Amino acid sequence: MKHLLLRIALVVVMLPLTEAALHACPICFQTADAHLTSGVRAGVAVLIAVTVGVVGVCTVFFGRVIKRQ
Amino acid sequence: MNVPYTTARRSDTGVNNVTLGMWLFIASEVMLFGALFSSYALLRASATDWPSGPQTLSLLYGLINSVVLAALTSVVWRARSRSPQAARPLLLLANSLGSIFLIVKSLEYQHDITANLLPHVNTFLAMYFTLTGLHAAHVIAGVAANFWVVKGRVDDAMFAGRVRALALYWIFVDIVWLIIFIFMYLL
Repeated sequence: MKHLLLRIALVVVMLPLTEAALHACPICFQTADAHLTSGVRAGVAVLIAVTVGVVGVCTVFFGRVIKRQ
Repeated sequence: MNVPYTTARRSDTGVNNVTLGMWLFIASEVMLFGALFSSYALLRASATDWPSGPQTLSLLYGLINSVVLAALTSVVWRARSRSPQAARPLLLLANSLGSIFLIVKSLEYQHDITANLLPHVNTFLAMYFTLTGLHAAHVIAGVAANFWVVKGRVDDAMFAGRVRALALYWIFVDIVWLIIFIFMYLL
């Protein structure tokens, strides 16, 4: 029973690697229409910009705290 | 349990605990609105047909609310450098402006609903109602916080710390509104 579960787990883990084309995201592989691709890119770009901004401010703040100590 | 409340500026952070707490809160709020603006960018860039903001929405309502919110932020910013006696009337004035903002927003929603501009019509309107609704909730929370600070009977240092935190909050709410106004009403 333990071996069977291990085999199933292994297959589940390996499946995305062996069937990469089958499970590929159509947006990443440029097969979706151009509008959807550019939309996802714009959304991700905005989210990255916001996250980098917040993390950057946090980094500067903690840098100042370390400097003051 | 009695949690000690300090109003002194900490030597390691350079700010007092109230201000630091407000900055942390604003950081989490930036992520919340950032996720929504990201969704807006995704939907807008991927849409083959996107309604024109100036033609769909009422620019007049948006302009009035921009002016009202800028005035509100200015009033709270002035209150931060005043004594509690002078700051309390300013915070009440800010609340009046906040109420005007909410009334104008309600009238705008009423106008939109009458014109059948509802969230299910298209993704532009869905984003419009989501962003402006969440922003209006922040204005309501700010007005409630202003009342809480005005009603609170605390020493001068604690009062000043609260007003400084409020000033930061309202600046954030104002900036978010300006972004919403530019992307929804103007572009």
